[in-house]
Amino acid sequence: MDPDRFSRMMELFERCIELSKPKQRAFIDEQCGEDEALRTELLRMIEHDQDHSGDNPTGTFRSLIDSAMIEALDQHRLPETIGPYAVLRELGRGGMGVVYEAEQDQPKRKVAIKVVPGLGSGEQRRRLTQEA
Amino acid sequence: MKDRDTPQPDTEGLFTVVYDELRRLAQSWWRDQVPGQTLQPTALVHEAYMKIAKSDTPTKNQEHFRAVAAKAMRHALIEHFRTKNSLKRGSGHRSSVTLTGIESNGQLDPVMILALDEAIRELEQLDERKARVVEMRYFAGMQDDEIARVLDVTDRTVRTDWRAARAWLSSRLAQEGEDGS
Repeated sequence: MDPDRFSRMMELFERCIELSKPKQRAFIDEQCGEDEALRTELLRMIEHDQDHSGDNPTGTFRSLIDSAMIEALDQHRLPETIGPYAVLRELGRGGMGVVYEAEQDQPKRKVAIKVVPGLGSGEQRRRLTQEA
Repeated sequence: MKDRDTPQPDTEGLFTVVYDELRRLAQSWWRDQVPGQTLQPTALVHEAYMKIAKSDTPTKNQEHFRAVAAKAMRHALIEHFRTKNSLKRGSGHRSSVTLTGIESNGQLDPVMILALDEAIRELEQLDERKARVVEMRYFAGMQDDEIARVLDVTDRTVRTDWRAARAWLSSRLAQEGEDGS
C-alpha cells in the first residue's frame, strides 16, 4: 500500500467511527465504490477497532509488550558467580551468548567467560569449539 | 524513520545514554530485588530519567526523554527476540505465529514480537506520526497529553491516531495469524 492510499483509508476510518454501527456499512460501500480491496481493509479495521470488539488482539499487546520488555531486560541480569568465578561485569553479547568479565580467586586473575544459552544443537557446540 | 535501525541524529547521543542506563538499571534491579516484586518497564524508564537528568545530560524535557527511551526499549526488545528466534530456529523448532504471543510452554513467542515490530516498521513508512504514537504508548507507557506535547499536536489527534493505528496493527497481525506466514 502506498502512503496516499493509506492516508485515504485512515481518513475514511476516522469518519466511519463517528457513525453509528448500522450506518458504517453504507458509508463504506458509498466511499469505496468499486474498490474491493479498500473496502475489505476498512471492514477489517472496523472489526478490530477496540471500541467495537471486545477481544481485540491489540488489547493484549500492551501486556505482551510489558512481558517482552521484562524478558529482554532480564537477559542483562548479572549472575553473581559462574562456577568458581565471581562475575564482575558484562563485556558483550551476541547471537552466540554473553561474555562476562570475572575474577578467579586462586590464582588471583581476571578471566573472560562466555555463556551460551542452552547448548542444544550440535551446530552450536561445533561453532563454539571452533571459536575456542 | 529514515533509516530502519538507527535513531534520528539529534537523539542518537541520548539514545545510547538511555539504552546503557536501562540495561544498567535492569542489572541492579535484579541484584537488589525484593521477592515477589515485579519489574515495571515504565517505572524503569522513569528511574532512568531521574538518573540521567541529574547527571546533566542535555535533555529538552522529560517527554522528549521518554520518547527516546521508548525507542531504546523497543531496540532492546527486538535485539533480544531476534537472538531468541535465531537460537530457536537453530535448534530445529518449527516457528509459526501465535496470535496471543504466548507459546504452549508459557514462553513469549519471538515470532509474534518480531511480527509486531515488523508491522510497526511498515506503519512508519506509511504514516510516521501514527507509528511514533504507538511506540511512545507501547514502549514507554506515555499518556495522550504527553505524546501530544512531543509531537506538537492536540490530544484529540493523538487519540484518533492511536485508535486508527491500533485497529490497523491488529487487523494486520490477525491476517498474518490466519495465513500462517
